[in-house]
Amino acid sequence: MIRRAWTYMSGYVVIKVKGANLERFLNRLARADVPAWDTQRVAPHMLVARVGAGNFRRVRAICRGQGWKVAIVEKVGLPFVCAAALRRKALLAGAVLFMAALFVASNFVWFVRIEGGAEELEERIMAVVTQGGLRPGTPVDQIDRERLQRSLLLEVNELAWAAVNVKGTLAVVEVAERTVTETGESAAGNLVAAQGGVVEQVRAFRGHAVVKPGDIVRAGDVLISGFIPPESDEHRRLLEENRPPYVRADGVVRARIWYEGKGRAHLVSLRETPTGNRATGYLLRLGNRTWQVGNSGPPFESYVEARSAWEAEPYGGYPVGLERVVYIEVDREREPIDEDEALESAKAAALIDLEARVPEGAEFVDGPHVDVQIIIEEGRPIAQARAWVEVLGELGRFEPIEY
Amino acid sequence: MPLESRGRSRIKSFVRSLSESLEMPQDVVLDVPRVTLIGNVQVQIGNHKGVLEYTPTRIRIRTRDGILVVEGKRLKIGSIFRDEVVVEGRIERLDLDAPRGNKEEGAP
Repeated sequence: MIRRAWTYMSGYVVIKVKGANLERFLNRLARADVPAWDTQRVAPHMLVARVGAGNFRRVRAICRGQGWKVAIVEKVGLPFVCAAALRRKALLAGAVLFMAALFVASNFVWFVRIEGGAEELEERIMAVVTQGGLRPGTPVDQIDRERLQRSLLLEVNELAWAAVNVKGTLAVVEVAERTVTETGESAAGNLVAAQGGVVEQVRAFRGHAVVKPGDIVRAGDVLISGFIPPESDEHRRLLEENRPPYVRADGVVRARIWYEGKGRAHLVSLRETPTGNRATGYLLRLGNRTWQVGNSGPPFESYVEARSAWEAEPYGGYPVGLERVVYIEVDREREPIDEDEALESAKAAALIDLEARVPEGAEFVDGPHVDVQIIIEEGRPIAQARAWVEVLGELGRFEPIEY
Repeated sequence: MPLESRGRSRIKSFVRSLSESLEMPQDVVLDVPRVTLIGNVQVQIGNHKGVLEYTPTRIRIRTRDGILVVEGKRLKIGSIFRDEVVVEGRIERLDLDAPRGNKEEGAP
């Protein structure tokens, strides 16, 4: 087996020798140290044998002048295969190029896949891994898996576990979501005021009511506490059951709640007409410093600016930037607006703003009311309107306790 | 010639007795043929002195101690080297024709 493999590796030829007294031919081969194998006496005057490819020259020399005719029947072995391949240069080049391309391509990540997370998390997870240097085109050996896993856990709070595995050209980000217990039935917490109002009615299903009708509360104030006071029976019972004295507060707190909306309208409008004059200035920025290039500052009294900036942060994170500022000269004309019209539009804006704030289906107790006043801002009169309404509604919002 | 030949045989018998007393393999020391028969499919002949006849039914090989005749069917020389020849095929008969006196047959 080994000999066969070796003869294949080194290459051999199948030769055919014709002539008389071929026994002597074999003896001469043996004496000349030319090994021959698989010989066959196919006819009295013909012999087939195999000799090493490198020895064929010597075989021919032995035959010379002896009346033996030698010819190669077949060439076998790796050297001949290689020689044949070498003759087909384009094919060989293609094969080498293909192998090289395959090798190079297999050293990069081509696909990044996220497994195990909720769909709405995928975008954030992808952003984190991209930030961490894992994206299609990243060399496989430049992926810092541990750092990626750490930053995933740090930056995406919902994750309990993360792993980055590279399988060939596919990077798989496996994640497991934290089971959120904060809003679960068992989580302890308070019922707090979602916004300010006057408490009308309090009914605690679970927990300890800390407000009473008539109390004025602000947003965030505790209405029904999840903490059971120490002197109560329930507190003692919870402790006996070896549980903390906290419950998930639940109940109804109805209150009169104000909602307020604002709107404003100008009493004087400014009309800007370009005069056709313009000037261009440049700002060069290096690090934190800026220099004016060309026109220093606006050359017009009244103008508008158009800026276009180019900024780069090359190696080392030292930013360089160039900003082009075009100053366009304008004529400003003040044009008074009808006062009633302005007041009305301010009021309408305030009401629209208010409507957006009031929850749907709220029970109106008082209002809506609107008042409007004229104020001066930056030298221009402005109509400012305020609309408010008082509704009767649910005030409570659940907030978990950290203990 | 007879003198020289006698001298040579004396040397030979000395070397033989030496190798026997030292328990050295005689085929190595004395250039005598070593014939190994493997079943009836292969026979290896070491220290041969050349092939005298090669046909599919009969192969004769010269050795120092006479002519080795291999007879059988589909015989062929599996390989031939300077000091070893391997005959393959279905071997039916193996014979050593010892030379009479010093006369040897069929110089190559």
